[in-house]
Amino acid sequence: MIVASSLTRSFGSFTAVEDLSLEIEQGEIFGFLGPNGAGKTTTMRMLTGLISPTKGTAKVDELDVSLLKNIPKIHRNVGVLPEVPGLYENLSAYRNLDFYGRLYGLRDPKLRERIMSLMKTFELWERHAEAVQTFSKGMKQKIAIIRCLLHDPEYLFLDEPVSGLDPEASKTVRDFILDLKKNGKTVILSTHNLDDADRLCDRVAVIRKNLLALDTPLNLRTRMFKRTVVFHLKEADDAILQELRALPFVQSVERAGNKLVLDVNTPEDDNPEILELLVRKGYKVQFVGEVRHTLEEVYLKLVTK
Amino acid sequence: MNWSIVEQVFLKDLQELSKNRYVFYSMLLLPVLLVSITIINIYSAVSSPPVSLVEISFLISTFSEIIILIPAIVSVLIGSTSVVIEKNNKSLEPLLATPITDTELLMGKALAPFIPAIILGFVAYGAVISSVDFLTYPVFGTYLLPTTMMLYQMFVMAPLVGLFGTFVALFISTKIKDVRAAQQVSTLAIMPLFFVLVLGSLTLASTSDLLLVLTVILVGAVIGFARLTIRQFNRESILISWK
Repeated sequence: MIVASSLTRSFGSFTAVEDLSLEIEQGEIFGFLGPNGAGKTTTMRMLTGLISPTKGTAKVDELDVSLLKNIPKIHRNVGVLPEVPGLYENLSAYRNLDFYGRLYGLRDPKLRERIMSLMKTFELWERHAEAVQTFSKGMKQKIAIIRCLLHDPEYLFLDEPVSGLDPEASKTVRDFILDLKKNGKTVILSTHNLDDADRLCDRVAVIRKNLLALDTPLNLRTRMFKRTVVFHLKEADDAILQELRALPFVQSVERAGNKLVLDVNTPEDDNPEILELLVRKGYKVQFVGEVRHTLEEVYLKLVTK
Repeated sequence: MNWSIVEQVFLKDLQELSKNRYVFYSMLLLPVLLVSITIINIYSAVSSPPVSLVEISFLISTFSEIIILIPAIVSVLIGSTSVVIEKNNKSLEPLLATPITDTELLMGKALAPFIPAIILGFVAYGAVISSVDFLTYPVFGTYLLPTTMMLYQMFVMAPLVGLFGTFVALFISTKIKDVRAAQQVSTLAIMPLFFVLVLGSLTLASTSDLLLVLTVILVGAVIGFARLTIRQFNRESILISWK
């Protein structure tokens, strides 16, 4: 478990992160969202012990990241994918990974098997002996992802993991992140890709220097927007609107052609009653849907407040 | 300190160095050039008689001072390259996210220039000793080298000069982003020491007092730059200030 309490980091007179408190549960996929310069990278660096907080504390499995003696222990349990892959361009992909594996204390034949298995997963084994400088941006990103997985860490800090990847490779990485979660790993993402955050994250923290919101994507939507359901009828008219408005859980109703658009509290509980009323009144319901507000809408509402 | 981690950084740096043709050939060129000049001069002297022992001894003393440049310049060439390459590749953040400590990183980065510099220095001294003895033995009927002075230079001064070059290069390259600029500035920074060493040796080389003074100056310079470098090699500075 990762616990940050009143985490603050200043660089001279500039405060990058201020009074940030949060907890990241074991086995969850947690996303940091925020505009450029919001302090996402600084927060991730503090949580991984790469830089110290100016104020406040952060603990990874009870180990305080501010204490220098804890850093090697923390880093044995943490994998970090920085914003830039940061590979040794003149060395082969294999040698890059071999070097990092050895820093984590892995040795052949286990190390070789691990590198081979991960490179095969990411479809790069065929080119393991080639210098990284001949690789595309996406391939370098995959090597950097493999690098942070080599020592099988419990916590993975991934800064823009699908940056530079084509749609197929992005899917491979997304699926891999979901597999990591299935295996009980904790993944902390920093991303501008809100679709990915929505699809992957159990919870997201929207930050801009300090914490603007922290919740599941669904709860954030609910908090920021009402839930809207649409009933598609074979034929609709205004006669039903009054009766629908009389239902206690219906906040608003509008008709748009043969569609009835309703704001409700909990569609899971409310839809059956609405449906029953419509059927009783003789309307033919073709299908029912929910207007899903995107995480992007939630994000924009939060950061432009 | 985990020496296995230090060893990995050292080996990786050497491997990267071997792939960098510019640095690799520059590193080999200097010892070859200096040793060749020394041998050619001694050969010219002994092959144009009459030749006196005093004249040959002066030549040997002069050129052995020049050989001491090898560990300094080689360590500067490698040291400045290894840090700047990390900066340019932006590989320091993932490296610092491993269990490596700041001290282990500094040790690995210091050994990578120091060890090849010392090895090349010893090889150069070995080549000079064997060539000079080979050329002068038929003339004087005795082996002129190694002298006590040369042994002192080899085993005391050369390692100190190598360490000095290493720390100067590491310190300066933390401030500079371009490999060649780092090498040039580092070379400039070690120049005053050369003047002290070479001029001092040329004028008063034979006195053990002067050697002692030179050694003390060198030790002081090594400690000074080592402390400056150690201060720079902490993860906060590396991630935030190294540009």
